[in-house]
Amino acid sequence: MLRLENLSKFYGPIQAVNRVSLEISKGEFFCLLGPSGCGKTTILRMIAGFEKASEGRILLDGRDITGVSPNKRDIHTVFQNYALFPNFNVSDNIVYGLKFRNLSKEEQKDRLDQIVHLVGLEGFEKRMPSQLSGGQQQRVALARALVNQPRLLLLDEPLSALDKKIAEQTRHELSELQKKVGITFIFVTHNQTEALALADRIAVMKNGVIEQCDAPRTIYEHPKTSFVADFIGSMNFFPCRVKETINGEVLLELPGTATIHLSQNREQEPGKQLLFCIRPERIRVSLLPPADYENGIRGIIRQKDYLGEITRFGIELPGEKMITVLAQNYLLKLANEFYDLGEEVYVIWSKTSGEILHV
Amino acid sequence: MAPPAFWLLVFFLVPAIIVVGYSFCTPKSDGGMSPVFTLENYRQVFQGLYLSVLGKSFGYALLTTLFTLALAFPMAYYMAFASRRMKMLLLFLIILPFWTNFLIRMFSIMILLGDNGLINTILVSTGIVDQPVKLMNNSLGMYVGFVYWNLPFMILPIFSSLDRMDVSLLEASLDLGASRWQTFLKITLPYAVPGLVAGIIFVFIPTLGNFIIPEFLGGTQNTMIGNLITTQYLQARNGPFGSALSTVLIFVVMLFIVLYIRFFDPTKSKNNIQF
Repeated sequence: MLRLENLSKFYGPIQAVNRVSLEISKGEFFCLLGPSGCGKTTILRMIAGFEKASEGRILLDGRDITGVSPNKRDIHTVFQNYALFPNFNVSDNIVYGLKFRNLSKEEQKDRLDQIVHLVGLEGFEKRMPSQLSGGQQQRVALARALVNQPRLLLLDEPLSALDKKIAEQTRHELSELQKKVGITFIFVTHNQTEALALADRIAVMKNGVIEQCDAPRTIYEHPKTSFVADFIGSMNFFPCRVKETINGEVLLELPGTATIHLSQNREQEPGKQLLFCIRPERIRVSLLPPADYENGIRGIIRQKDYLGEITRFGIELPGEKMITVLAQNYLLKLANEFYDLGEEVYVIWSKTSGEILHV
Repeated sequence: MAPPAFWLLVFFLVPAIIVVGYSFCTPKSDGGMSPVFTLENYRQVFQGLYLSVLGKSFGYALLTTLFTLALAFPMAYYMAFASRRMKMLLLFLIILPFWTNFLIRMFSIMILLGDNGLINTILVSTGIVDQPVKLMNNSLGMYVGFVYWNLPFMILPIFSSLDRMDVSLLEASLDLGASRWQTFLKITLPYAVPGLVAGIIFVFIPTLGNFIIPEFLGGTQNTMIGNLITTQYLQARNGPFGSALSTVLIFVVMLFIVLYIRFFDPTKSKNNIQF
């Protein structure tokens, strides 16, 4: 229902957004994810109408809205600082936009009551914004935008200003809310946990370009570029060279370290330089050598960080390469395995684990 | 007693009491006054002539306030939303004239407006007019002087109020469907109100009592209450009568302030911004 075609934005010589094309379906909870300066907020503002696109088009349900002013787009925004009007109380803030839509007084009152109930602000109607907590302010901002039943809701870093615990709870509420109202949500964030938890699809951005646009699971398990692989979660990277492919298994030489196997149903050219990457939690540490369906490399534990739920190991492999391994402390305890610094261990993972990225 | 209270007492209350006291004294023909209680001074004040001058003074001050407001508001608005560098530059330019003596600034206006002044020289030499236009020693000159003098006192409070506003509030209003004009009325203006109230007081009251600008730039028709008071003290040497005029002026201004604050109190109000 929203389509971006070759959207670009220049600030003088600097290109903030570089020919971005995107298609978002009705009812989707879509996320633009990336580090500061990647252009995600600029895109959001162009969709809302606060920035003019330098190139390209924006189409909403087929209608070209690229040049339309923000007050005529049927798109509403929840701002990062909520932007509640301090001279209006909660009710008046919420109905602010309703007044411009030619609804009868009863209809306005109905919608107001509905939305107040939906976001859980009963009893707060007469309060002023300065008397509300951060979480409450955000709910007012949400209600204010949703009461108008826009076609699209834009959220700019909605959870950044909240404490961790409140943010988690708000995340769930936001997700439920979106499903209930069925409106397309597009939100912008630099926090990959938020993105993974909330979005139906994520567009990972860097330097004004979308590097990958997929469902969270696909992005996490099959990243297409090293940036995406590293930005979401953490990742071990190993430059490698293809030795040969036998029976659907690729042999990769990690120079100076080891040769490993990766089960893939793809032929790889021998001699090709690639990047092998594997998630720290897919690796296990053991005193015993690997089984035949596993890769194993001997290494020495150089770092050990106890993090409550998990322990993060930094293990030095031959060739002075460091590998990060995440172990569940509960499982370690069950198996009576406690590894110390300086101990020699095997670093083991299944031959089906890991991804190959092209350099 | 705290220093501020002491200061107010010594430098405001006591002189005011002295003036009021003098207003009840009898003037002596040689210029002094004798402490004989009389209401004659006040009887004189309430004769038509002086009251009408007071009324005219109110009118001049009111119009001055309106003109100043009309010029100051757009300036303050522009400044509040300008880039940081522009803001600093404009603030500097507005404050810069304060480093110059007031009288010299008045003289500089006279150089602009006089018959042989800058404006008339340009007009006459380019042939737009045959004779110099009378820009001074009349109401026009007086208003120019007043507005020129008062502009910073109106710009700065309004700017200070508007500066507190976040641009995202304007964007939010537009985002929700309001037009630029509706946004201005509903969101921007309420923010500006405390500054407006302050600015109006800062401009209206001093203008009311001003006697230098009407003297230098105004015409014979533009006598204001300040001029009358000055005349009584300095030329007619009738201290008690001057004091009576002053007391009436003070009283009227106080009345105005009380009413104004009662209806437009900038420190409390459901209309104004809670911070």
